[in-house]
Amino acid sequence: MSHRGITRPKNNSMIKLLVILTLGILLSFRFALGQDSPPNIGGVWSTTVTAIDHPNWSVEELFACNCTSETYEYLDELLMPENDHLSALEIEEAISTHNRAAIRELYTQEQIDYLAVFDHADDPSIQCELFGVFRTILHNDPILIEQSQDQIIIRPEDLAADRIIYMDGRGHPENGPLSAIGHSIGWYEGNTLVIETANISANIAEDALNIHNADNARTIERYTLSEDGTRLHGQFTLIDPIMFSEPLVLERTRVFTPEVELLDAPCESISGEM
Amino acid sequence: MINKTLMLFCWATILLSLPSQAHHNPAAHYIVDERVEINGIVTEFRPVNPHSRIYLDVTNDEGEIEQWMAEGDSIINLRRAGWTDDQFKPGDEVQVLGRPSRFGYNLVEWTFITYSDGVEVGGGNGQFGERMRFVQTRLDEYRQQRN
Repeated sequence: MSHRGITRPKNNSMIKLLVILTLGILLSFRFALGQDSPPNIGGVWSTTVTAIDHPNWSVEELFACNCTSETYEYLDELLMPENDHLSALEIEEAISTHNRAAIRELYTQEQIDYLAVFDHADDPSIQCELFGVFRTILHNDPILIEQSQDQIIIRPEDLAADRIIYMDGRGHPENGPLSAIGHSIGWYEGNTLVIETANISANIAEDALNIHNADNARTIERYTLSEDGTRLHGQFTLIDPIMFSEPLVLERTRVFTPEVELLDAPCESISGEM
Repeated sequence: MINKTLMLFCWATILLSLPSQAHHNPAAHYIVDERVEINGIVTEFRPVNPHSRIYLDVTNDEGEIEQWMAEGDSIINLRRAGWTDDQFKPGDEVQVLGRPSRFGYNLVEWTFITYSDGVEVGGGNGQFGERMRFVQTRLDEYRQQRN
């Protein structure tokens, strides 16, 4: 008995030690994987505009827009019990007004002067010209992200432009040519994909928000995958000291919609006449 | 019927004051805070991007037939909202409510389209109204659960 009494605790200790060691190794391995492997963000991601009835949206996200963080804080206030008298439409209208005001506060005189003479009938996309990069980033339609080691391709629909993001460590070409879509490089920061785009030419940055960017604007996008993999939170920064007194930062969440297929159709220009 | 028309009018008045969900700012070709209503017979439906178009014969107050064009969302968004490429056929009688041309042409950017039997056509720029009804339902549920 005494022999058993001595050996049993020894066996138990050994087993416990083995279990702890195994768990430790597994956790270290998982931690290492988490640090080294990029988030899997491949697939089709949609906004509330085309996938409003998706079950994964929270109520806050149903009101999501290309909005500033101040506007999202205002939305949180509007969803408090003291504002239960407000209808969904009134909340939508209130955040739209708030967001426009928040963006307007960042206008430089150049942006104000440009808007004073800009005619929306001169929007080149009315003649089927593809959107510039910031308008593409903010567009409502679904996007397909194709992820590989050296590059990421983001395919949108319709007039938004296909994008190539170089992930191989290269920089932007020095004194490279300016273009509507610019030159994009990317990297991962933990669970976030960061994309920096430079060499952007002057364009309509977003027509519904009525904002423009000048030549040599830059953008930084941060796409963070939620823990359950169902949401991609986007933060979009437009750095353009000519048109904005400080970087314009907008945010919006997309939801994973593998059931959605990108659609295509011919484009016919619009003249505003019969 | 009167109530339905009144509701439609109220929705349209509110929706016309909000930014469009479509590709282009409606101020490009339309007066954003005015509305026009036309009744006509479809002669052609063009399911294209960036804006789909419906061509119509509209009889004016003098009894003459005028040609009108209504434009709305892109066909890809309309397909996603359940439209087909032959959503409207020549001979269909429709009522179109929307924004009038800023240049005085026979154009309208549609917000609501209703068939002659009173059935509202879903989708289109009017899908913003459908969207808001859905959000209102979810908001009501959220408030009930929270309280």
